[in-house]
Amino acid sequence: MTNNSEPLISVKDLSVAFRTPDGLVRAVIDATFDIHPGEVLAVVGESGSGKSVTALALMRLHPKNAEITGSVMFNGHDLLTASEDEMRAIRGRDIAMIFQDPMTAMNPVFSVGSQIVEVIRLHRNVNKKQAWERAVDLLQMVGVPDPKARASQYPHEYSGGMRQRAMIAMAIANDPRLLIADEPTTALDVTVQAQVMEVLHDVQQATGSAMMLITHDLGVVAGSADRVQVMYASRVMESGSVDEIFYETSNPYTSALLDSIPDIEGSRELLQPIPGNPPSLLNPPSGCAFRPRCAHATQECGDSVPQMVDVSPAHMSRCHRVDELYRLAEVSS
Amino acid sequence: MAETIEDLVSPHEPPDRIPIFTAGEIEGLNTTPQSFGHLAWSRFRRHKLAIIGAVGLIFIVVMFIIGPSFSPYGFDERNIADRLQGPSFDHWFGTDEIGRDLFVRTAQGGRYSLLIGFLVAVLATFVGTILGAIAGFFGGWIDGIISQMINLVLIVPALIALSVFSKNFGRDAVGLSLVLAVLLWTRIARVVRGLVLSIKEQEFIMAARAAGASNTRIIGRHVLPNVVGAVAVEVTLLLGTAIVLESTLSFLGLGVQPPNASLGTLVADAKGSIESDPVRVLIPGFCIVWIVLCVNFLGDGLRDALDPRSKTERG
Amino acid sequence: MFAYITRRVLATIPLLILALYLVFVGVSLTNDPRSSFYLCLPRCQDGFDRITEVYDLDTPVLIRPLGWFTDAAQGDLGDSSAIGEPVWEVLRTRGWNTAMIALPAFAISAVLALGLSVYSARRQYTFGDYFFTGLAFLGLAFPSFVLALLIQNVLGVQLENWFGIKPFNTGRKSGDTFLELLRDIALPLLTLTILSISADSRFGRASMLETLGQDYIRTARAKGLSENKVVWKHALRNALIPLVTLWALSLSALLGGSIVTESIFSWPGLGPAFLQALGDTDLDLILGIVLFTGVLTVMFNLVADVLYGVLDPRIRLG
Repeated sequence: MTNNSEPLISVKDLSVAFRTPDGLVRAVIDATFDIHPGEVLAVVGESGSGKSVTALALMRLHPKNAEITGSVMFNGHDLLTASEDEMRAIRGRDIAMIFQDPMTAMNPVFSVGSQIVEVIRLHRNVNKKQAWERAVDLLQMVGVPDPKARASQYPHEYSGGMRQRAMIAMAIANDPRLLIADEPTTALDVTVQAQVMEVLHDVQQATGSAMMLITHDLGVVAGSADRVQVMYASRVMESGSVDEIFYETSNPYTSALLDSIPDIEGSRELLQPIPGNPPSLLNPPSGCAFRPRCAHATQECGDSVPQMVDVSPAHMSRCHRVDELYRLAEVSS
Repeated sequence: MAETIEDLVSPHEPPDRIPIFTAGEIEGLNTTPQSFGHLAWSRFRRHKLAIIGAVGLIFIVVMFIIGPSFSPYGFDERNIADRLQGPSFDHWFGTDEIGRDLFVRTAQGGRYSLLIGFLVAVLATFVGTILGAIAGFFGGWIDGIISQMINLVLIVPALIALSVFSKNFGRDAVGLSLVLAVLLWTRIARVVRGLVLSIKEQEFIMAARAAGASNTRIIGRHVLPNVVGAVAVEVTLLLGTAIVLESTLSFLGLGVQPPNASLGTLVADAKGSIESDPVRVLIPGFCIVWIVLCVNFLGDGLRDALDPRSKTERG
Repeated sequence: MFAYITRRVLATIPLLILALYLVFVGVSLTNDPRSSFYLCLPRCQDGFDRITEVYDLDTPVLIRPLGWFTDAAQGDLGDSSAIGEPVWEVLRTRGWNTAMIALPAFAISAVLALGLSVYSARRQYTFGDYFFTGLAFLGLAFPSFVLALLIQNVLGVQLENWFGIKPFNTGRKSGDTFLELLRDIALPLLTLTILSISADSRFGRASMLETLGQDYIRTARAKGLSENKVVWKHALRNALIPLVTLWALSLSALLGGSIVTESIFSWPGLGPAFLQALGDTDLDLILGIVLFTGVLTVMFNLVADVLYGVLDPRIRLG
């Protein structure tokens, strides 16, 4: 569901770098994207591509040694220059985050219910009893069985899938306008992953909030996202609608990524991994970061970093050879 | 983490966890692959305190060993005429009440303290590592017995138990070292046992077993190398503790006996004239503090260098 | 919970008995109360026989302790030859004196160390952090007797030399009014507190740092909690868990450490009594003190375990 209304959150040229004893690590470079109300944006990439760092930067939850530039416009304010008090009002209320590993993301010494109650009472003026009832309702909404009893239990008494459901409940407690889900199913068993994704999907549809879904699993993307953004080595390589990304792929990295998905039903017998390794963020290769592993690389690709180029109105790709590789293909097919 | 208080001899400090992202660690990438030993050494070198500790320790050990050769006086040489002098060009640290040169005596005492400290550290480490590894690895009744032995040793406050046994059995260096070692092996044993317990659960052990490795081989080739790092750290801490305990016992008159001297007995000797000549107390006391500080710095550096999960402090 | 406590107590009693047995045998093997009598035999046969009877010296060493155990089980801990009072009396009066210093030292150092740990962990890498960490390192490196002598000399004696006034007594118990006591215990209290804080704050800082690095802290921030709430509500609860076990050890270490401190400051607590008992080989008093401190140590550990279970819902005892 894309629409042309005012974007809910507008990120421009976001760059995040870390000062380390080994040098400057540029984790995110010039990320620019919008998320519209009610829209699901999937951010895809391998480990280390900068996806999680982007999300943390939006909420200003990054470690203290990070240097951030750019702007993140939300509700008329630039979140990067907002005061800490302003950010605290936004966190948990307007923007909420669901983390990857629910076992470590919840405090082991407090009951699940009390942790949900905490986020409710932080942003709303309700008494304990009302907050507790709402917490139980939320747990029911996300499909935790016997929510009344479960609310008094501790995180270690929940199973992995249930814990993540509880995390989701905690995140939607105050009807946030933007949900950021950072690899919500990566730490779960495969059988449970689909269930949790379904819960997340239903919840997002029911509340109408926008969602930034960070994942390295393209299968998850296909079922849930409206738009997709592919990241590699700190940069956005391609962004567009789900259909455009899957069926009108216009970037060699995205292509290679799609090709590498194991296909049980297809005719291919061999796996097609992307050759080589992701680059070091301390010493990235010159020019396009994907060049060393790209099947279509030329001399020019090593000379300069490619800019984002429009393939169609809402579809962009960062590649020197977009025209040759993809537009030609479109014309001929 | 400990399951009960009984799992702790002295608290095993959790490593400093500092949220810095070094490039290799965020992304799991490195510019060049380095062997563990190489990595550890470079991390150690970066740790300023550890270097200071190492240098300081070497310095004082050297002073103790070759210092007296610069002085014309012997250890037990008495010049009654020169008694109870403060520091001077002749007697760098002054003299005691029967005219013995204090610089030479301090060096001698220092050597003796260090000797006992090392003896204890070696003994306690040896016994503690082996017993701890056995307890952790085999579990069951063996673990039960060893754990109960540890509990027994720790049931009474350390100094009290030490006082009783060192007075009666610790009249000479070997005896004293033995008594101290019997107390101190427990800490290393606890640490090693805990480590082995967690290593045992890990998959590479199962893999080794599946490949047909015998227990001895598994312990020797797979478990012990992973334990070495923590043990090295514990040894340094043990050295410090041993020296403090020995000097405390000697100070109380329960440890090293005349004619031998240790830093502790020197402080006891000087105690009487503390008002008129406080320096005489300060010097051996300061030596002890110096040694223990250096050893602790070293231990800290080792801990940071050898624990791959902890991050070094910047700068 | 009650069952757990009972089980633990029952498990440690044999160990305590074994420890006392070993002490008894160890001391007896190396000391003969009749040593000065051998030379004057057969003249002093009476004295010789009397001593033999009092100390049960005809029974083999390995069996002798049984006599003490049967007496102790009935509450009779014997008389102290070194001090000349029943052992119970000594334990009571001297023990109270020791408590007067050890308990406040523990309480003050626990609170201060906690505060310092939180401060250091939050302000990592600042000057304040380095300063306190450095102090802790220093405090850890000082043996108790060196610190005690230093404090006694500088604060107790030199202050008087420089300024002519004597703000603190050098530890000797001079009176029983509250102010007098305060003045007397100030220096030994200071010594013990410094030693305790050094150990506690190192550990506390490390524990706090580890806790602050956990994922759930990030979640708490993501919910919009203020930093103070994050630290004092979420982090502290978790960081306290290992700290509690440290406190139990601290208390028991304080008992041992008081031996040195009390002797230096001439404070009439259990410390000097113990040393005197050792010097005179007063077996009854030695055993009494070992028993006393052993029981206390076991109790502290038990309390720590129970607290551990209270604080950490993952470990519920039963």
